Amino acid sequence: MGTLIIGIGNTLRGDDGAGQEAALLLADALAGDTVEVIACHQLTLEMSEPLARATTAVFIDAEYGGAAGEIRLRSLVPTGADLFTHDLIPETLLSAALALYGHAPEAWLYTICGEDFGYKDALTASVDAAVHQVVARLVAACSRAIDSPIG
Amino acid sequence: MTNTITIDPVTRIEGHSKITIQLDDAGKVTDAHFHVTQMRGFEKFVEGRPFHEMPSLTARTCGICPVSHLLASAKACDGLLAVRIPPTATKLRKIMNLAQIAQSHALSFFYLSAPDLLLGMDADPAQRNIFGLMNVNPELVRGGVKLRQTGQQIIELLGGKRVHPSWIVPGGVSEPLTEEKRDRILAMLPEAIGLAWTTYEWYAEEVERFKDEIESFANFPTLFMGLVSPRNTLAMYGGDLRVVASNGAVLEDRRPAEEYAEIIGEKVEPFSYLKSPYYKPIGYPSGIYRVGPLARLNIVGHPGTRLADAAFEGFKKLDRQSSFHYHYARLIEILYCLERTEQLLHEPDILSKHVRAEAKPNAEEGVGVSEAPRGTLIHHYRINEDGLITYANLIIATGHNSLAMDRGVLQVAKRFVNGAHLQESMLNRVEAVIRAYDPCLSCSTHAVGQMPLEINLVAPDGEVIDTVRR
Repeated sequence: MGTLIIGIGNTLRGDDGAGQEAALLLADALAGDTVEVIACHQLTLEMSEPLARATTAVFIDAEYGGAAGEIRLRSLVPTGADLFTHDLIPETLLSAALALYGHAPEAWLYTICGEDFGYKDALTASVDAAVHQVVARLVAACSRAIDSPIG
Repeated sequence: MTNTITIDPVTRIEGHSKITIQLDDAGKVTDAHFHVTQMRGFEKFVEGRPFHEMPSLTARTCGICPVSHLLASAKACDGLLAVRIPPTATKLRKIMNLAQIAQSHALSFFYLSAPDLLLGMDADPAQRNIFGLMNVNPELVRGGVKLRQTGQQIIELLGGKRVHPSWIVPGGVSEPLTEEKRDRILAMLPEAIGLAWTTYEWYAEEVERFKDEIESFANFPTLFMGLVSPRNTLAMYGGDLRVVASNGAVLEDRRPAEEYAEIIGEKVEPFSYLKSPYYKPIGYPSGIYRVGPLARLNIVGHPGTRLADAAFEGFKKLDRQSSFHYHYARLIEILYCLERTEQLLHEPDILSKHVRAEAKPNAEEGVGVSEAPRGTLIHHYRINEDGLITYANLIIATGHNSLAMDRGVLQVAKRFVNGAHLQESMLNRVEAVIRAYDPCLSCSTHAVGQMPLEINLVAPDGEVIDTVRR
């Protein structure tokens, strides 16, 4: 498998749903490509298996702090071993993929700074715009079939 | 004057709870309790809602076993509609329930309890977790991941998503099964069944090492309750209630599940938000009973599928009164669920398009009962003439085990805890007896951040004389 994209977030907590919203848009945009997209509420250990099969992984999540709609990107390396599986982070999931299946892909994390994490099922306008920017970047990167999705 | 040890929160379970252990001045355990510290209130806030919302609303009780609530709720709504749902819908509902039980049991056994079983109750808590297990036995963890994935993927293929699918509806299911999906599920099963059997064989050898735990982990006589099929086999979806005593005496048999209130009473204790059901004919608290995998296997003649029946022969040789053997029973049930799914998918009418009975409410009261991973789950509703809920009673599987868990904590604390000098491993055993039941204390309220554990031993004058931190 080539690229795995995992969008994380709670769509009932306002801007926290940014990652999942981006993943749902990407699943539509990249349908039929050799890209697997997972839209989820939170990371779970079972995701270590498709992660280990990928050559490149991109996580998308909301972030608290920073200007609303600000997009941040950083590379990830496998680290850590949490005591519990209720709050897995991408680095730990990469670590699990490495320990269980002998491979962790090259990985990046996109975060989109949120503003309103209250009980609502819509994104604020600036966060929604940022979601579309991230989606456009990743669609472009995947269509160029380059290794890095930084695009 | 007594001292109190508090374990708060209890870890590696679903939901939030604590354990308190009372010591006398010599450091000997005199009492212990299991407290569920979260309040949910579902029975009250659903009042006034349209009955057809109930499956979706009550499924939100839990993020691990939403399918179980969806199912029991839809069955209660079938009762309100007074319809008999199409046979194919019954089979499809059964498959989703079996997938739910298999994936939940895999989570309990591999993720939550295997660290204790494989690394040892006395292992360093920094290593005694699923990640520590990966370093020691990655093959076992990979098997657990695959089994959980299999159950989740079946749920997703049937219901559209892994958590909170809305496919089970009053009157049946919302969509029939396609040939392509059936074949995809069938293709997954041989590997999963192989993994389940390998794990069972491994554990059947390992279990001999836990003599102390078997003797003291809630090992006392109680009643056992669950649903049984007319063929005397496991009945995860339907069947009648059976209550059996530890000595094998059958106290209730072929009791229609709708009559649950005639044999089950519910008591509220001031130290816990979890209600304490009891067997009415014996009274409270002597009418203590257990449900779930151990109870189910203690009340049936045999599970009802080839490999599960073979594993059951080993189970029959165990001390079946000990709650430690919930783990063993869970592995047999994973086998049963996967094998039974395979059987159902080969039924000639499984792809039938007739999967839903349409009707308006025809009854004022409905009861839905099914087996959830942790035991018998009961939803009971009454509605007014507008179809709005006027009464809801939910008896959650974990609730049935409330009295047994509370007594189990005391038994294991007396056996292992020495208040004069606390050791983390002593307290881990107290937690582990709770983990054996795999209680689900409503995990839809997730904990955020680190789950700390600090136990202080305080002298009568208030001086902290010992502390254990995790």
